Amino acid sequence: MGSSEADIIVVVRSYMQKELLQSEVELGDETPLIEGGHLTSLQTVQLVMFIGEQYGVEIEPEEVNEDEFRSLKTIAALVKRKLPA
Amino acid sequence: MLPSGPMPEPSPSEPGAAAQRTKKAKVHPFEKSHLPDVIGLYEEVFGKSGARDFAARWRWSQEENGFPAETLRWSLLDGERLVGFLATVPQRFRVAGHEVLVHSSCDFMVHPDYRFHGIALMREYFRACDNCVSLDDMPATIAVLKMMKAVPIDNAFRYVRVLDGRVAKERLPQLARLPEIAFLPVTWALAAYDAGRALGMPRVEQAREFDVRFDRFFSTTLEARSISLVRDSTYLSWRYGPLSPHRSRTIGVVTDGQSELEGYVVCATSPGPSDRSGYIFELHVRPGAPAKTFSALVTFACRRIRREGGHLARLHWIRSTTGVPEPILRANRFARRAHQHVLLVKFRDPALQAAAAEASRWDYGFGDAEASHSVAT
Repeated sequence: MGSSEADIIVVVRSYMQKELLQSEVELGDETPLIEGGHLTSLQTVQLVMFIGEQYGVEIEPEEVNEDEFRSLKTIAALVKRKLPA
Repeated sequence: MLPSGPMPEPSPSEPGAAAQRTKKAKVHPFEKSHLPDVIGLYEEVFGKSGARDFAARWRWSQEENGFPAETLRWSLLDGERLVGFLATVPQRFRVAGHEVLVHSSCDFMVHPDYRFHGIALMREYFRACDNCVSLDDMPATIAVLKMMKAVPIDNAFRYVRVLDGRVAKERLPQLARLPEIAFLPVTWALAAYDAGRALGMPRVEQAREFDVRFDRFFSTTLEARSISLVRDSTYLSWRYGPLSPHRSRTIGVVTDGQSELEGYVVCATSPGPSDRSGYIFELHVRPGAPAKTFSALVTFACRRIRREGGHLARLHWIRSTTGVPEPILRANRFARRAHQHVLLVKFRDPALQAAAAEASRWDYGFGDAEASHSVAT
């Protein structure tokens, strides 16, 4: 499993489409996830748990905000920052 | 809407669930001028009559509790439009010898277009409150609470007991056509069974109020209650008082030779045809009291609920140092259902959190929990 931001985007997009949205909805790297209604609070919690299991990183409650979860790109940047160098 | 009450979020697979546009919103301290919009938001989902009950409950839980200055609540605003809210109810707890103020989120709701922002409300609650205790049964809320680092301590299980033969008509479609009178013999048999049992048990008296005997009962049982809501007559008089959603409550007490309390029960019955249930909110006895004291109080509550038109007696059982042991509940013909609530806690002080993590130290009951506030009786 790669850990570049591009790799993380692929993994998170796939999880969101298969597990959270259960549809083939188009999710571009910069598609607004919150404003577009693709992330509810429960889906966000599920996504945070998935990221924790997948990458072994803990996302703090204060990091679950509109800026960090704006798009797949910002989520990938957050995960990347938390991964050991 | 995402209330902490009975309405779950739509599942992601529901048509349109992901198509809604989520807008920007910010958490602000609640102001009195927000209240009409809070009630309006509730009315959108639960209708006018639900909103009336909610408004009465809000006044009771938010304005009449013992700690109005410490009652924290927040509004979610998009500009000037209220699109969500979270209200807490503060209660005193005693945790391993320390008395602390604990906040429980008692009303929590977010408009569907702003669903992501439910997390922001919950985050503010956990940021502002040092000690948070919650008894919840909604997976969405439990998941958010866990993300906020609240720790699951124990589960509360739903128990029911049939009091009236008509339960069979209500639950079994093949019996629905039979006239109600056909079920009377079963009801009579159940009532006779309870009456017979009551004869061989300690006498239960009905108390009108929570008087000083309750204060003495709680102070003499203090040692056994390592982690507990600080119950006293003042608290109970608010919890089941004239403004409470459970003001129709019945209090039953068993006393010793000196008229001191051996134990007590508080129950109330739903008024409407949609839920013919009675709820046992409190059931506590002095540690070391015989099992018959529990059985006497349970039987008293069941007979009272039946007399008030209840077809089922309901009790949310959770392990508790002065509460009813599960085998006694089963011996009293209560059956366990699959549904359960989860007790989650987060204390800022690590020593208190460590103490609270030991489920066996808790003395807790459904009536203590904010989850019981919305039960209509």
